[in-house]
Amino acid sequence: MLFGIDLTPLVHSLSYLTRPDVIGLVLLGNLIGLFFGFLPGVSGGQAFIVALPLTFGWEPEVAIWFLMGMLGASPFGGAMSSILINVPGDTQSAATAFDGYPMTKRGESTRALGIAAVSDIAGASIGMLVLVALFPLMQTIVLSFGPPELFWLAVLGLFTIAIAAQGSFVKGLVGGGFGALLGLVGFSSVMSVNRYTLGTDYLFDGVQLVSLFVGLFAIAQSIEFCVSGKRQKRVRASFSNWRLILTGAADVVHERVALARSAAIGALGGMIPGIGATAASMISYAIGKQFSRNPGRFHNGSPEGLISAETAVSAKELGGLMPMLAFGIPGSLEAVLILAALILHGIQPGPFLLRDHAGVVWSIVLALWVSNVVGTSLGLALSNVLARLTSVRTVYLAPVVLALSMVGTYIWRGNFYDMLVAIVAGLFGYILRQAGFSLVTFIIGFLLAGIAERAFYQSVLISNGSLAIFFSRPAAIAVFGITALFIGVVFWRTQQVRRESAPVAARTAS
Amino acid sequence: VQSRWTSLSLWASLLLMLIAALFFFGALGLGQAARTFPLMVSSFTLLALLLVLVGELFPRVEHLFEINWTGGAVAEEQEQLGGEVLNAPGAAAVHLRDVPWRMVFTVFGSLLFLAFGIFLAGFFVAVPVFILLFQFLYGDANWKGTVGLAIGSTLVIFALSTLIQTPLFGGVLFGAPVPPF
Repeated sequence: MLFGIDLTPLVHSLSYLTRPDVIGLVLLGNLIGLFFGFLPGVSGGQAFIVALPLTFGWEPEVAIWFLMGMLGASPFGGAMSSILINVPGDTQSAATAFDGYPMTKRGESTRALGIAAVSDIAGASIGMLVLVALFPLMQTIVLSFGPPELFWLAVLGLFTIAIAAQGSFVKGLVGGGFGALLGLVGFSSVMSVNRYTLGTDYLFDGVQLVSLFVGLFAIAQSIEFCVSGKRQKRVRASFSNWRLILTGAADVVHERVALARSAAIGALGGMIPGIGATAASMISYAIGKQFSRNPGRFHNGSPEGLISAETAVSAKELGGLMPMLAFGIPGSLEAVLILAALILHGIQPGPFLLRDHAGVVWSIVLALWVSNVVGTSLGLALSNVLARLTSVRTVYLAPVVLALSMVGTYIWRGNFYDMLVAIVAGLFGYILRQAGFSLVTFIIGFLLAGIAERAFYQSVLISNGSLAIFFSRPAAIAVFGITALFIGVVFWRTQQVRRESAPVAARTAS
Repeated sequence: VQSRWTSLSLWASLLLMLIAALFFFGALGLGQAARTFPLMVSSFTLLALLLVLVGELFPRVEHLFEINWTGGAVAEEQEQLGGEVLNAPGAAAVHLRDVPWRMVFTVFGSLLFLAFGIFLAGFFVAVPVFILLFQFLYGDANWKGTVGLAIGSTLVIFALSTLIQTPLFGGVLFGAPVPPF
């Protein structure tokens, strides 16, 4: 035990790193993550979704090490394309381009890559420390939870995500509600009744998570990729020597205050469900500019700006796991991906994940951190090769991703109709995304429906049919109160922003 | 200026509303206790959809539902990126004619073709044919590269199925039984 943390599961998780097959899978995952993160239009998350069904039958921890390999390396892949070609491989790397690309134009691409790499590693390390430091506190809190608190967590978690994500919160709620409705299809073990099966055997087990996941994210994103994907111009060698990388590292040490501030914004901000890595990096960049001694250098190739953007992304990646690991509420797409991987490997997520599957939790945290460190180093070493990939044609990549998506969907349980569901979900997901509905709240609603339903009926059973149980227990009131407070603050802040922008809008109109 | 009636969001909301209504009426057919939760969820979804629809028709109402807590803090960054990265409140609505339906249905149709091909002839025949066809439909593919990609992808799929010891569907034309629904 160390500071109240049992280290046995940590040692067990670390033992996986002594296995050659796991090391090989982590490296393979890193390469795939870098490749997908680097190419604009596709993402490490998409690679994760295509690869997830292929891990069927693997030991859960081994699958986690492989899958985290992709997620951990993907942000640096995105940062590289932002720095080298001014096209973010992923939206979360958009702020990296503000100062990364001007540095490339000045002939300082290697230094910029060095800054991004060290910021990534430092951000991930601080994010992990914050996450681990909060484990004992979270364990204490969740042990006081019963079914009414679980019900509130599921329902209010969805509200928080819909509201914190900005844009139309009603559309976010529709996404969540609709996902929950699909989650109710099939045989309900709680009520022992068949629901919405249309008399078919196929729907007895419900809509399959793999089909929905592959459809909504891999296929829908591939459609978008085909619609908008264009070949980038080829860029020449980007990486010249290790000495310049060290110059970048020295820049990060020099700007250690910006580093610490950005890591804190990423790690702590990421714990609020709904705040994505893109928002975290933008906010960190804007705050960095406010506090900078040289704000005029921002947007013109400032190392401080690059550190502010990039550190927040990687710190958020680990810190943002807290709501999912502690409460089973995924607050971001990355957390949804990990949650789905756990469910598909037979691990029931929820508030007791930390207590019942501590080894798995440690594997997730360690694998993500190790992948970040190894993937970033690998990315630096391979940056010349990756730079040449900018000339890969969409026409070659899209059909392979689509075909592999179909194979993965079929392999999971050998059911032909799962592929058809994935295809329909892909079209549905594309249209919903274009119409401004949130697919993240959709899938979260789908995942939380079962948890919320079970908790609801258990609570009603405990209280002999009275709904007062949801409003009378101290822990339930606390969950309700904290969420209500957060939602209230967001609405208050929105009103404040409206008042601030009203005179500007009036001037523009006149 | 395009009419609000051509907004994709409006038509998508109507479609979702129809489906949510089916869930609602489907729940009414369940037993007394079993219907409670599905009714709660479908009623909530229908109510939220109704609000979306009202917002679609009345922009002032839609404005009330928009959350923007970052405000001016990241305004310059948003502007530089065309307001596309964070869910920019007040972003221009997508209209039906803005969606490249032909391309969307080309990809969707080619996937259905792939599924039908797998049903008839199995993965190892359908996948390379799909890749060749996709290149032909999609654009200026280099044929040498395309054939290489088709063969390479098939080999990868074969290696995967061998590695994880899961046989892939062989196709009804080659004797595989019709999968039960």
